[in-house]
Amino acid sequence: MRLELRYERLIQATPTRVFDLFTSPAGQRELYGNDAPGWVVDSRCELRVGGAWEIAFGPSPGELYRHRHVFEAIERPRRLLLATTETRLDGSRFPFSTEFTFAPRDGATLMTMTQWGFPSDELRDEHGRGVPHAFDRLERALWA
Amino acid sequence: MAFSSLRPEHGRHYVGRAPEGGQSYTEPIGALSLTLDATFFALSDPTRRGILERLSRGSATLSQLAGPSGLTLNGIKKHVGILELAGLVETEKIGRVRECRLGPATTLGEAGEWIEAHRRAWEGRLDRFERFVERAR
Repeated sequence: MRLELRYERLIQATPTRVFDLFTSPAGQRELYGNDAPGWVVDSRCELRVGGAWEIAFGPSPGELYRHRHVFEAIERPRRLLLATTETRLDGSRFPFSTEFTFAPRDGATLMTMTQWGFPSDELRDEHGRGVPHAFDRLERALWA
Repeated sequence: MAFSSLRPEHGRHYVGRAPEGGQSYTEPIGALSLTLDATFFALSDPTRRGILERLSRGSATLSQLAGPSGLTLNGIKKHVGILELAGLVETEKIGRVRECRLGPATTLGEAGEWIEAHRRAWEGRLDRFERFVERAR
């Protein structure tokens, strides 16, 4: 079992269009936006392998959450691979991997986002071992 | 979070699940509870996963858990202690032995809740990006 979160959207535009909008400053701000009055999004991106996309977002300048994505692969317009670090309110950090793929699908784009590498990734099955009941419960929670 | 930062309070271990009136988790993601960290830490070790597997079939004493694992009684106590801190295992002294059983499901429930909150946050972001692309056509 690999603990993996996957999201898909069928977007009515070509992969190149979706990829370019996704990596544009406006698209990046939109991703972390919110309609709440006063919502803050500060996005800074250096779109190159090894470059960082850093986002601070939240309900006010005094209450900001932070994501830092480091580009590990940029394959326009097909794929982005990011090493993501989520910084918690207490300052501790939570790293995981994030991959975006943009596949043509009937004139549109199937955009897929996959996240893995959570600390729980270590829970994956081991050869020759059964799966503890507790894992079944966690997996059900993941895929509910 | 280092495991050593988990601290017992008043003779009982409270890990993450705040007592009544404690702060609850809200979006956006940022405030993870100690329970989630403790759960992931506890489940990261194959010996501890084996203990949970054994206890999923019924309660066992520390000696019974130590037998098949090849660990000493002290070694198994250490692993059980970590699982207990995470709320995955409960122990009870009965006579001269300590009996172990699976802990309350609320711990894993909280891990599941965090993952679900994480999922909701990203689903919302992708919805918002999709609308943005539609508007930008």
